[in-house]
Order: sequence, then C-alpha cells, then structure tokens
Amino acid sequence: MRNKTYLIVFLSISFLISAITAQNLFNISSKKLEAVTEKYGEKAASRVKYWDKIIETSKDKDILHKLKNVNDFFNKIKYSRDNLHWGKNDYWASPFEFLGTGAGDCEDYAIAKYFTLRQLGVPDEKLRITYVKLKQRGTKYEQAHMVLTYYHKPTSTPIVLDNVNKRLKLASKRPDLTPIYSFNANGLWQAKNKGRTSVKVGKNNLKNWKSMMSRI
Amino acid sequence: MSLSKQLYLIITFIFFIIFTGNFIISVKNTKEYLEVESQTKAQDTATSLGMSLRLLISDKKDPEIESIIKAISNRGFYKEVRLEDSDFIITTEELIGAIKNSNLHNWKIHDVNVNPKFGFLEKIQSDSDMSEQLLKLEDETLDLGFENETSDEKYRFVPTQTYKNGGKVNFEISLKNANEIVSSKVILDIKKVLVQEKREVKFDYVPTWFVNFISFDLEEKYSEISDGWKKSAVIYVSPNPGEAYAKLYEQAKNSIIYSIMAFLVSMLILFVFVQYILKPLKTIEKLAKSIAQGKFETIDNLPWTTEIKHVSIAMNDMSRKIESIINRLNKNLEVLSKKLSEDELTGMPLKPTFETDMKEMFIQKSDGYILKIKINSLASFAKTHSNNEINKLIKEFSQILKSVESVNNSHIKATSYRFFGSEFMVIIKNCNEKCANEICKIFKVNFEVLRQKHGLEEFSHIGGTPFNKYGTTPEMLEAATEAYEKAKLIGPNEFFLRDSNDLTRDMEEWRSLVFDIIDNKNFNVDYINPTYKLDDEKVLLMQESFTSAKDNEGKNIPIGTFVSIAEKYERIVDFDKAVIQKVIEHILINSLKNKVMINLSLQSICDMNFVSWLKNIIQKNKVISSQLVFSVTAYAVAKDVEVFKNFSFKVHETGAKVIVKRFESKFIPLESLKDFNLDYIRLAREYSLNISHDKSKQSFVESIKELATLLNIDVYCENVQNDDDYNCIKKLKLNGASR
Repeated sequence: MRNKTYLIVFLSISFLISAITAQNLFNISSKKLEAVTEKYGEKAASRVKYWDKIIETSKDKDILHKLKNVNDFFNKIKYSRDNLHWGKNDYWASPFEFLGTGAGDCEDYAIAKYFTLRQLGVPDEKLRITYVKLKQRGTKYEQAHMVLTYYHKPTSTPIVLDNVNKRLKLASKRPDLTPIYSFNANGLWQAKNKGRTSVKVGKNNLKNWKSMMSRI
Repeated sequence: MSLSKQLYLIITFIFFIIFTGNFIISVKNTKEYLEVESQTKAQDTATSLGMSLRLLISDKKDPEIESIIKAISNRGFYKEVRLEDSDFIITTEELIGAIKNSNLHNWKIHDVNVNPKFGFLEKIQSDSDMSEQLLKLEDETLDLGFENETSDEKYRFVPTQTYKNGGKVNFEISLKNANEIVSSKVILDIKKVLVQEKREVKFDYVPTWFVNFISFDLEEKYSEISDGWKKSAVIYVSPNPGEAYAKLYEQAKNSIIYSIMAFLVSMLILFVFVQYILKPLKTIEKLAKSIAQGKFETIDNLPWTTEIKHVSIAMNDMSRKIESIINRLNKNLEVLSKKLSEDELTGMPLKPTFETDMKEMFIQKSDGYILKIKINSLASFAKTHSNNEINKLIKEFSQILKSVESVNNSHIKATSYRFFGSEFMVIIKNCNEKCANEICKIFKVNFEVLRQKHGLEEFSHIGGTPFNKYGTTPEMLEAATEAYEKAKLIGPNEFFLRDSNDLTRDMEEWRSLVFDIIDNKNFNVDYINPTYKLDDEKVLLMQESFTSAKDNEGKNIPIGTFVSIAEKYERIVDFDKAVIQKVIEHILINSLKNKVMINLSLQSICDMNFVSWLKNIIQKNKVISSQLVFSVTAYAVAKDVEVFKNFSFKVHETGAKVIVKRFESKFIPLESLKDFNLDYIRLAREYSLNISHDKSKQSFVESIKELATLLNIDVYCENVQNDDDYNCIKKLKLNGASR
C-alpha cells in the first residue's frame, strides 16, 4: 500500500516535470525555437512560445476575436525606429526577427500581424498592407505609416490593425489615417510555400517586401 | 582516316557542343532577363499609374484618367493598358434615372432583382454593424462617428461568366411611394472596362520564323486603385514583346556571328597547330619507309612534343640497331662467302667461281684462253710421301700458276682455279694464242724446276682452248680436256693449245638462224623449275619460263649461245618481247594462279623503249600483273647496277615483281641488296648443293635468309635434288624451292 503511494507520487512528479520541461509548441517547430533561443535568448524564446499559444488559442475563435488577439499581442511589443533598432533606414523584419529582438516599427507590426492571421486561416484577399499618412494627434505634422487592413467583404470598409491606435477600428473611424497605397502578398506567399529560396519577381515588386519574404 | 582528319572532326564536334551550349544558354538567359525586365517595367508602370489615378478615381468618367492612360500607352512600350472597374456597383440613383417614366423618378426603390442569367445583386450593407461589434469588442461604448456615411443605397452586381465583362443587363425594380408599389424594368449598360488602350505588336526587324520559334511569356501586370479605403478599380498593363524580340534577335545574331568567327579562327589556329604537331610524324613515317627500303637514316632534329620525341628516339635507335645487325650479317656472309669460294690449302678460287667467272666473260664478250692443268704424278707422289709433303708440292705448284697473274703485259688478267685434288684451271683474259703460248712456256719451265726438285719423272700437262663467246662452259671444258689429252700424247710436261678456227659453228649460220627464230617466233616456251612453298609443299609459288629453239637440223640450240648471238645482233629485245607476250597469253588462257618468272637480258632492261613497252603491256593486263616476275641474273645485275635499280623501280610501279636468279654474294654485295627493292632472290645452285653436309653453306644461307627477312625478300632455291639438302633448306626456313 505504502509502495503504491510512493509510486503514484513518483509518477505524478515525473509527469509534472515533463509537463514543465516540454515545450508544447503547436505551430512552430522546436528546431526553430532552438534557433531563436540561440540567436536572441530565452526571453525572445518565451515571446515566440507566447505567440504560438496565441495562434493556437485563436484558431477556433471568430474573425473579430482572431483580429483582436493578434492585434493586441503584437501591439504589446515595443516600438523602435529602424535606424535605432536595425541601424538601417528602412528594414522590414520577419516575424521571428521582430519577436526575437522584441521591438520594431510600423512595418514590422503590420507584417507580423499579416502572417499570423494568414496562419489563422484568414484569406489573403481579405488582408492588405496599406501605406497611410498618419496625422499626429495635437499637431499639424503628418508622417508616413503602415497598417494592416482587413476587408470583411470586397466592398466593405476595412478594419484597421494599427500599432499607434492599438484598438481595432473601422477605417472610416480613423480620420487620422489617409490611405495612400496598398498591396497583398499572395503571389509571394505561394512562391515561398513552394520552397523557393530565391526571390522571384512576382506580383509585388516592393524591394523590402521581397527581401523580407526571403528571410521568413 | 588520317590522324589530322580525326583531330579536326573531334575538335569541330567539341567546338560545336561548346558553342551550341553557350548559344542556347546565352539566348535563354537573355530571354529570361528580357521577360523579367518587361514584366518588372509593366508592374512598375501599373503601380505608378495606379498611384497617379488614385486621386482621380472617385470620378471614373473623369477624362483626365483616359488622358493619363493614353499618354503612357502612346510611348509604345505596352501592348495594352486597361482600366477596369473593380466591382459593378449600382446606386439607386442610377436605377431610378434609367426608368423611362419620369413620373416615377421621385419614388423610392423598394426592391431590385436581376435575372439569374445575368448574375445576382448584393445590397451593400452599412458598416454600422461591424462598427458596433468592434466597439463591443474593444469595450468602447461611444461611437464618435468621424465619417459621414452617405444615405444612398448601393448594390453590388456579381455577374455570371457570360457577363463578366459587363453588357446590357435587365433589372426589375419595385418602387414605392406611400403605400403604392409599382414595378418597372430598366436596362443598364454596365461596363467593366473603363478605359482601354491597345498598341499593335510589331516585329518589323525580327523575322517571322524567329518569332514563331521563341515564345515570350509576358504576363499582364496589374495594380489595384483604391478610392479612399476601398478598392475601386484595377489598372492592367501588358508588356509589348516587340522590343524584347528585337533585343533577343540582335543578341542571337551577334552570338552566332561571334561563334562562327571564333570557330573559324580556332580552326585556323588548329590547322597550323596540327600541321606543326604532325610534321614530326611525317618525318617518322618517312624514316620507317626508308628503313623498310633498307636505308637506315635517323631523325636529327628531334620534335618538341614529348611523346613524338620519344617515338623518334626509339625509331632512331631501331634504325641504328637494324643497320648494325645487317652490317654484322654482311660481314659474316663475306667471311662465309670467301670460305665457300676458296680452296683452303692454296687459297685459289674453286670450280663454282670458275663457272661464274666464265658467265661473266660471256656477258662481257671477253676474249681469252682457258687452260686445263693437271699434276699427273700427284697420285704416285702421294703414295710415297706424307700429307705435309703433298700439300707442300700442291702449294708450290699453285704458286707457279698464281705467278702468271702478274706478267709484264698489262692486258693480261689470269686467274687460277683448283677444281679437284690435282686438277686446276686457268682463265687468261685478253689473251690471244700467241700470249697463251708464251704463258704455257713459262709454266713449262717452272714445272720442270719443280719436277727436278721433287725428283719426279713426269709432272704436268697443259691443254688450252680459246674462249668462245658463243659457246658454253661445258663445251669449253670439254675442248680444254681434249687439248689436255693431246698434250699428254705429245710428251711429258707438254702443252697443247687449240686455235679459234675450231669454233664449232659458223657465225653467219648462227646469225641467220637466230634472225629466223626471232622473226617467226619459231620458239617454244616451257614452264620449268616449279617452285613450291617449303612449309606447304602443295602450294605452287612460281614457274620459270624457259625458251627452247631448234636449228635447221632439228637439234636443240643451247639457249646461252642463242642469247649471246641475239645480243650481238641486237635482236634480244625483240626476243624478250615475244617471250613476254607468250607468257602473258599462257597465264590468261590457263588462268594460272602461280607466278611465272620471265628471264630478261641486260640489253633489254637497258633499253628505255623496251621498259616503256613493258609497262604498257603490264598495264593492259593489270589483272595478272602481280603474277609476272621478271628475272635478271645476278651477274647481269652486277654489270650495271644503276640500270637494274631503275628497271626494278619501274616494274614495281606496274605491280609486277622482280627476282634476281643465280644469286651469289660475289656479284651483288649483300650490303647493296637493300638498294634494289627486290621481291625474290633465287640462290645459285652451288649454295644448296650438298648444303646438308656443309656447315659453312648452312651458315651462309641462314645469314642470307635473315638479311632477306629484314628486307622483306623471299629466298628460293633451285633444283634441289638431294632430300637431305631439301630438308636442310626447309630447316633454314627458306621460302620455296624447285627440285
């Protein structure tokens, strides 16, 4: 009887330890996580693990909750200008680089959100990465900015996923944003999924976009 | 195929592969580059056009839109620039405006339907629902409503495949005014394409086959244009392949021109290089050929290419070694030849030498005397004396004979021969009866001294006969013997000389006989001396044509004499021609497979007209040319070596063969054998007679065979009657023999 109790205690402890030590990843390979850990450290790894968890928990949610979860998750990451963070004028980080370094600018938010939502099954034609002009509150100055937009129907007003105004809003409710130009990444995404390593000139010709796609 | 041709072929093939591969890769890369460039350009144009049109797209009928598109299209880089509506959006205003009854224009739309064959209608919902949901989601309650929403209702027409580009579409509208509802039908002309500019694709510069052969995969590029936040239109830009074709054609043309030029220059360089490389090979070939002909040259300027240099050195080495082997063989043969032709005791030539010397005299038509001298008392002397004493006597006797070799009269040339034990012969050239008489007297005096010295009763007799140019050796030997017998009758140590009046036949008689035989071809050709292969005795190699003629009394004429007379009266060429014709006829009629030897006189082979006649007749009978073997005796060859060399060369040009018969090293020095380019030699009978018992002869014949093998000459023997001799020459691996 006593032995049985010991055995149960031992098995319980073993299970607990294995549960703690197991990485329990769903959407990211452990190899990738190891690479991130090695390159960016433990904190970065925990961010990646949290990201994975967000993806997993959002999978069964409706579209608005998916949008919100993704938007909220990435908006928690610190904003930093490219020239300070990357030492380059206009650097588009891949989601792993963005999470790994734990900071980025507006493009990095938009891109990371785009890929996460694509991972959650949101159709490509509903997502667009949009260049906008942002009027800063309380000033006359405007600055170039980038947001991710979600079109529920082709004719509907898009929902804006922004890192400045961190709440989800219809574009019509964002008078501070003026749309300039938008694009999708369908062709490049497919090319990437075919396993091509080099950047092929595709439907979208933005240099930074291609360079970023090659790093994902 | 020559080495140079093989080199040209293989290198041409390699060049072809390289240039073709290079050409294909270069054209393919250029094509891909041009495709990418064209499409990138089209995409950039679509993007920048989209950005330019963004500000104007709120009014899709704004003429500025068309102007901008035309301005871009007119630059000619694009096949088509097209602006399409992104969606068919129909407003209530448009629908009401299309109603013909103007009384209804103030009514409101209650419902709109469209026939399913055109497509279906989707009412564009206001965003308020979505806005509320978002407020709830973000825990916000206050909608500040920054943007005024229009009150106009809009419909999105989703067409069927047939109407995807628009067209005239029927709509059924129900209109409401207060409580009254009426229905109306309206037709709207819906256009998908707002502006379209096309430019003809021209390939003036590029040939049609090139356009048909290479297809450019140029995708249409597009850019979406948003009116505010919503997609409003799409601008499409199609690249014009004309320019890409022109550039690609130019590239392909230049590439081919360069390839051809490079190929030609490479072949020229290769030609020079191959000539340079192969030159030493030609020198080696020349050397090999001259070695085969027995000329042992060497290559002095060694080639630069290592492998060929090594071959040249090896060839030089081989040439020197063969030369030294042949020289060694020649030396051996000389020694053996001397041993065979000299009497060991007296150092005098033997009977075979006497016979050949006689033959030489016949050819040279010499004058002279032949003396037969015999030591009569040698047999009785031998009984009472030792061998040494006998040898001493013979030596002293031979000294007396030899002493005549040098008398004061410089015209005399005497040679003494030892036939058997006590029998000697002396040939005195350029000597008349008076001279012979004097010599005999000298001999007689000296013999007398010797007789007294050794205390003998009777010592020696001399019988002499003049040399008869038209006679034969046996005849003269017989005449000398007769004279000798007469001398014996005269008395001890006496001599008897026959005079020239003894000649057996009158010259006039001879002349008419020979002319008659030649003019009327009154002679027979027999095929004698069948020579069989020694290692396969069933194979008949060669027969000898032998002419025989009869005199008026029906007696056989000695052929040697006949030939001598014919030569004297310069009819021998006609005779030889007649014989050749008869032999050719014989070979053709009897379809002979073996070779036939035809004897030619020296006079004939010296005659240029005869040689060209011979070449001509052989050319006419080319089929049997290799069966004709022209034979010249070794002593005839020796008489005029240059003439024979020339004859041999000319005969070989026709494919016929040459044999030297009665071959003796005395007439043809072995080291000069290589110069004659012979096919066969037939050894003098003397060499094969009793060869089985004579080691010296065996060594001699073996050496000749070795030398002949090196020079590609077949060696035959003649009239080998003794079986032991036959087996012996068989062992020595001679090529053939007659028995």
